[in-house]
Amino acid sequence: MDTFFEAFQYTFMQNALLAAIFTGISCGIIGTYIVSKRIVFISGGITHTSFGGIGIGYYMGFNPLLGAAIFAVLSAIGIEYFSRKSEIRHDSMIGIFWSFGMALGIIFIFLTPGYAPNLMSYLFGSILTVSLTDTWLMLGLSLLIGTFFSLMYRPILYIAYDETYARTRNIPVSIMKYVIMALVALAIVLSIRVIGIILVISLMTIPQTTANIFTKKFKNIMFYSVIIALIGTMAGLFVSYKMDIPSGASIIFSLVILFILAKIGKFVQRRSLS
Amino acid sequence: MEETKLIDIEHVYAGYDNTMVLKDVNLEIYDKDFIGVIGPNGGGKTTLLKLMLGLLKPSRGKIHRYTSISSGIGYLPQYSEIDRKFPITVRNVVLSGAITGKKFLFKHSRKQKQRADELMQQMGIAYLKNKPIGELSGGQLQRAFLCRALVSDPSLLILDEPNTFVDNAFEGELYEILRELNRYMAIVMVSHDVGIISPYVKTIACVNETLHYHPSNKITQQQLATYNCPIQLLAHGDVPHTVIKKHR
Repeated sequence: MDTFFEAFQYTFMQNALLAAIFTGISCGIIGTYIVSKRIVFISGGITHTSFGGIGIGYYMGFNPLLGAAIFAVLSAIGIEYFSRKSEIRHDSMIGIFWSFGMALGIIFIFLTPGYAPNLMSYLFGSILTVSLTDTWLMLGLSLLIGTFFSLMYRPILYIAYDETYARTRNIPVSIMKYVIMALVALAIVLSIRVIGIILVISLMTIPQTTANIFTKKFKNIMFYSVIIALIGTMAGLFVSYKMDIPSGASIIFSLVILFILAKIGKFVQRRSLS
Repeated sequence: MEETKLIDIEHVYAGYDNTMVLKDVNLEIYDKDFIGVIGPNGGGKTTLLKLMLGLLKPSRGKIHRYTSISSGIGYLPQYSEIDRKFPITVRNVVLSGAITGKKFLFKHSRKQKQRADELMQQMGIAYLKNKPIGELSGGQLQRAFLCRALVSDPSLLILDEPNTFVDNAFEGELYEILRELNRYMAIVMVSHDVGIISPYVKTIACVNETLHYHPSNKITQQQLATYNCPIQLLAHGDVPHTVIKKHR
């Protein structure tokens, strides 16, 4: 245990810890919506499209995360809009956005002269290089998401459950969906620093699925997911520090181990009850 | 005595993209009506309901509603459209029918919560109210959806094939509940089986591209043919027999 606290004496570890906490809160809440409404694939699409923004950011010389944020929000809205207005089906539209974003990103990073940016840290995350500014942004976003979801809890729940029915109840479904998707996009972008484009979806699905083993209530899944995400990210961070392995991968590893333990726990509990 | 009109559909055309599903549909719904909507699959039954609920705008024609959708119309959608694994409790499903958009942040009033509890009591699912919907049987789930449709105390109840995926025992019970509800409100019910619903409904609407209104609950194969409604008529009489006619 001593080494655990020792590890967090360094500033970069403290920043990483704060980042882990705020990402855990954002992703725990947002992921509950994603998993319940079965839009994991859309979220994957948004994540990968944002890579295009990172590439352009590098090429034009502005903060790549800003580019990622613009791309993520536009793709979230674009996927919703185009699949409603055109004849292309929803999942095909996601596939197009997904691959086009990645292609753009690669092209622009390739075109960027001189110093080749650290691709790996965007693809697989590097929580240890999170800056103080990043942590403030993450704090702001987790506050925003937390407030929005607690104030608008009922309409969000009803839209996620039965959108068509919600439309008959005077709930402004379309506007609400655009706002939620924009929040999904922002949560994804800020998690890219922590866990990387390819691995982001894990924080939005594994804790929720683990929570869902123990509870079948939307609100509880949100709370449990935040806690599970926190435990997973902190454990992963520590393991990454101790064993000197990439943090993103070790966070996912911890989350999956928690998931398996939960499954076994539930199985044992059921056996002993019957 | 003049009956109160609830919905007036006048020369309505509607469809998706470039295909018209419904053409020149006329229908007036009055208070205490009980209309059974029948017709072949893809004939436009669900499209008609969507028009009534404001989920689809007519491409031509007019729909006049004399009641608000959110508080005046209760809706029970088709069973297949429901995600049964969604993490939501029975009570929250029922309460979702009470949102009218009038209250700040869409909160529920104490009165709405009382009404929800009362309805669950009446339908015999009060003991399930904190259970997730995934643990319910087909019949129990339909009861919950019926509570959701009724919690706003509507003057019109719209049901889309409420008898699918429920056992026979509940189906009979459901029709009895509807007959009782019909004393206070109008009901529009879509069904693929005109034989079963005809003793309960007052009038029949055949929907196949256009709508033929039949002002009685008794309908014959000949009448169906003139309405251009190619469905098979199953007679559920004392002597079970089936009248099957070749579809066009």
